[in-house]
Amino acid sequence: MTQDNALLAPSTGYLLLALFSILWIGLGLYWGRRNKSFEDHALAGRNVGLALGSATAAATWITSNTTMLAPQFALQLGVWGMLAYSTAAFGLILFAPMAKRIRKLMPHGYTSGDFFRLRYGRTAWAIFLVFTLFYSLTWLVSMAMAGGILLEALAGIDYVWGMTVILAVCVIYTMRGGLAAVIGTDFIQSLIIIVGIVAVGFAVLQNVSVDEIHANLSTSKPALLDVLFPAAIMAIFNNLLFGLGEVFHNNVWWSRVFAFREGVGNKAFLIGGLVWFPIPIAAGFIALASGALGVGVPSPDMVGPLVIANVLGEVGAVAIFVIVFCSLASSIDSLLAATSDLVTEDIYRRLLHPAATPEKLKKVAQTVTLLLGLGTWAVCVPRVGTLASVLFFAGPLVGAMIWPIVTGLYWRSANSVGAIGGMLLGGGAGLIAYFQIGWFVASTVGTAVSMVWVLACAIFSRSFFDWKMLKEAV
Amino acid sequence: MFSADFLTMLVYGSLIWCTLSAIALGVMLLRDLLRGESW
Amino acid sequence: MAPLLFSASVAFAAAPEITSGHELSSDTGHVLVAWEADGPATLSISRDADLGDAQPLYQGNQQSYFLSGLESGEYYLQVVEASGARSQPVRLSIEHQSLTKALWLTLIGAIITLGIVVVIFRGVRR
Repeated sequence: MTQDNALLAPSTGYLLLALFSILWIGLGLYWGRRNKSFEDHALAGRNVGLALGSATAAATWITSNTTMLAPQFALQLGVWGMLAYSTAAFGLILFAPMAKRIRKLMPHGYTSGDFFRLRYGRTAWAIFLVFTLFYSLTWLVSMAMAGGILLEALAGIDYVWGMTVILAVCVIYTMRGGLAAVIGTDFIQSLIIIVGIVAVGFAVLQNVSVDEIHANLSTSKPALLDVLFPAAIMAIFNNLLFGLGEVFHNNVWWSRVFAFREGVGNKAFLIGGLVWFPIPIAAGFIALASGALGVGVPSPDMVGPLVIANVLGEVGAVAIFVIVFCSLASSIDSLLAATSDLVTEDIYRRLLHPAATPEKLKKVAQTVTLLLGLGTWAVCVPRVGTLASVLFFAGPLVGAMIWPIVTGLYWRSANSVGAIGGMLLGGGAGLIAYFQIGWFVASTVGTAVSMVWVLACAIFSRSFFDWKMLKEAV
Repeated sequence: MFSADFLTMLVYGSLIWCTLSAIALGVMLLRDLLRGESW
Repeated sequence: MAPLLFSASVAFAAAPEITSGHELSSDTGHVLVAWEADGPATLSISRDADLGDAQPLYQGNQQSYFLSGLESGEYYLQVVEASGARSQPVRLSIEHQSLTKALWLTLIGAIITLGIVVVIFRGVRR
């Protein structure tokens, strides 16, 4: 998209970037002062309350995909497309009871890696680390790239500059402030995002009614209203299982379980999921209005911003810019924090330097955050377009981890052979399905194959896991 | 085919739900802050 | 002199052209159509090969348009410039994926999800 087509002047874009950067970094420095040890840095004191807990669950799960891809999904796959996207909320909702169980089983836990190591042993732990780092790093890279691309499309800001600023701001306040800064900024970001989406939604409805949208779709885009639209129906459970896999395995969510006060986790994830559920619909439906509004869409990924600019002009352009920037920041900071904590705890402490002091570990975590930021930046600079789609390969891998985790938390009979086989067979089968059949079956196949293996091993197993082994002391 | 009524319910329902969520989060934070239980 | 230049410029003015391909197809009902044209142009769609009842989709300066939500069938697309110059019509075939396959996959996905829910809510097994 050229500078001429951008919705905002670059100077406005830079001004907005600067204002929010100062805000986030300032808050990060302020909240970072309370962190003394690695535990403070990584887990914000293990005492986060319900309001901040719910908001961080929702905000972290709202990525730029939610705000920009939801309209695109709606335009491509219609009503079922929006509903299929919303099913990702079940990742948070179903994780709620698991959060309570995890907290009870592992009162001194730090990461999801700790769980795999203690529950299933080193081999499973190694496989888990490979899968989760692949997923986390591709997610981080895709977010950073999306940031650069969007800032360029919205305000004509050069891709490398935009991407660099977003990454740099997130790295700085995450390094200095740790999980506390991430959670605190998440609350503000979540409110901005939700208010923005609601304001935009009502603005669209001022210009065109739902009846008019429906009439326009019936004549020119009838498949979008089809109750039996095949591609859209397939997306429903594939998306749901991808979402379950992402939340159940990743340290972004497990670190919050350990950071929330006792008794808060269950409710926070449930509320977070309920807050998230309507967002893909509220953000997505505006794309369905594009025809009725007479907005020609030159490329599906721009439908959201184009409709907003059409109904709200420059104010709308500012709104989408701010919403997107907040949703990017709220996810990138969480990924940086959780991944650096995973590397510090699982690799640095547990594998290499078990006797490291809490202060030392905090410094290591900060250094790893910086290195992650630099590494991501280096990968994003050449702007290899296909990189963003590499994230979708993670679908079968994360799907294959669902059954090992869920049975590992609740069944004594779940064992290492089941977990290792489940992850490898499920991941492999899912990837084959991805390339041989299509993206829309990959997560389903990966989860299904993993499920069969894990269940078989548990049924025929003589294992009887002692839950006390998870209560590893600090 | 999804009806116009269904689409109306989805769209307005989601916008109202989002509004209530934002209010709920704000109220919850105030309550936590007043009790000193924010974090 | 002037008439020679005038006729030369007319000779070099090319008709608009849809650049996405001569034959387009989709199994999801959506496709991105791109074209080259001089100045503002109109993209139209029709179910007839002779573009009898062509409906305008887009009119303006952009050079691409994302078409979606089409049901299975044959369609014909054409770009017409303001000057009246017309592009070659392009045929678009839409054939949606198998509904049976989609429903089977949905059923499998639903069973797996139900299984997960059951394990979580049954809780700890002694």
